[in-house]
Amino acid sequence: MSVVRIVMATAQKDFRTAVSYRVGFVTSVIAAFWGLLAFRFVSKLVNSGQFSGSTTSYFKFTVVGILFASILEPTAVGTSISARNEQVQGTLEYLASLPVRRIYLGLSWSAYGFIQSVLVAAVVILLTLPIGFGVSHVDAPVVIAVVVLTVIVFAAVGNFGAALVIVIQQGVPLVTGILSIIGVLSGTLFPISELPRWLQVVAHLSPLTYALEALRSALLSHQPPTSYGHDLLLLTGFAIVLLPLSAWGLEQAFRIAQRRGSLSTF
Amino acid sequence: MNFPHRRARPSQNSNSAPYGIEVEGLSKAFRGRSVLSNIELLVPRGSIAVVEGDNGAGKTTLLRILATVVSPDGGTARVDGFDVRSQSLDVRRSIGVGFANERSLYWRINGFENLELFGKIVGLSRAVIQRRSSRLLEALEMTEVASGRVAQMSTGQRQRLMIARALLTNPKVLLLDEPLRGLDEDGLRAFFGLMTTSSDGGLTSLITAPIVDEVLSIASAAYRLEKGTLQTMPSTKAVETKESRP
Repeated sequence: MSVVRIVMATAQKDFRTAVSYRVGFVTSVIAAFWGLLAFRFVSKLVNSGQFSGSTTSYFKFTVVGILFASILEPTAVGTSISARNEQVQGTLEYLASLPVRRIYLGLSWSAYGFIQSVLVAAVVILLTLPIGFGVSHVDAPVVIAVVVLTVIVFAAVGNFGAALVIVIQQGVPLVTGILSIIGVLSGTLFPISELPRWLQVVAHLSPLTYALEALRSALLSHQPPTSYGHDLLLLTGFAIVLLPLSAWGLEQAFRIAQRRGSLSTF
Repeated sequence: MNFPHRRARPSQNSNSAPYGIEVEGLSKAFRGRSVLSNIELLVPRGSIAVVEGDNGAGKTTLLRILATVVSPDGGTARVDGFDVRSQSLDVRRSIGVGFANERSLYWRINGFENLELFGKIVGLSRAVIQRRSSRLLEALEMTEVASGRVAQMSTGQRQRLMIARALLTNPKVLLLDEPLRGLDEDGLRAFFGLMTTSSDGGLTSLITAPIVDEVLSIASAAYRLEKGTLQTMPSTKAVETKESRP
């Protein structure tokens, strides 16, 4: 498939570029692990409070939330950043002259960020095992389905950001801001049941809410697969709507830039 | 204005189009400022047309429209028989492009890796990329240099690499914006040799240059773009030479 070919070729180029700077991967692992280590100590306080009634520890709760968010953020923000880099480097206009659908370019821009963050998350999980992140049961098909669907949704969000970059040369701060709001509202650090009622309604508009609920159920509690059906269905709905919409948005952004002659402008 | 090759009827696809490039009544303005006005241009298949003009004359805009990265306001433009507006994907499949921007390469990776990347993106197999890259880089005397990072190359070497990239897909139409910029004597010789060979093989080319004299030795026709309008240049030695071929 041409989309896979383009995504892999671009990821390889981004890998080669990242390697040329050498220290990126190691610092990402250290930063992610250090952040989680802090939550190991925070969890001692929280577990003695209200969270002690939960079936899982607060540390495990936050490891799942933070690591999953750390995979999704580069996927979404990485698309906007890559689009901006292509714009500033001067390669965007050349890419636009290639016989490639623009949505494929958008998806390729998020590939390396996603792959790298998955590798970082895998290493960090290994590092957190000795300090309390044990998982006794993994419902692998559900985990894979949740990750794939949520990554598609966030890649679509990234495409909207890239579209903004192409039209107004900005977009990265907006996508970062939106993701911060989504992260807080969707239960990355605490259960959404702790939010005021009206914010809980808003939280249920976020795909990350359903993704985290399904993921925590599949990793931390032993629930039958049928209990994830609702979350997976909604995630599928988000993906089906948002991905084509973002493809259309990206195509329109290129058309606007072509009309203005601004593909090489930054 | 004198247009030596008038088209008999609009072409429908790449097979029936007699011209590699057909432009009729093309116009473009940016923020109310006219850049191109009623441009007419016909470039027969297998020929090399050169457009000269001062800075800001509109050469790059014309080339960008033909490369489908800028939309025209009025008129029509067909490349390899495909309309740049309604068949832009087909146009992009037919063209090889070299913009006058050395930053259109990825500077942190080497020359081979740049060619490999763009070849893969357009769907070439690894074997084809390697074979064509080797041939093009050898023709442009870049084989050794291409294994180094683009960031460490000179402007002329980057220019040669961009020319190699433009030809990597075996395009039917080649669009090069100021390809001679930064080329030294060896580079010019290698470029002219490659262009002549490619033209004999049926490649249609449109090249822009600030001063046309440099490329007349390979040009089939030359035009001057001035204040947004295109004028056919007087018959030249280069044109005569080309047309007097058996």
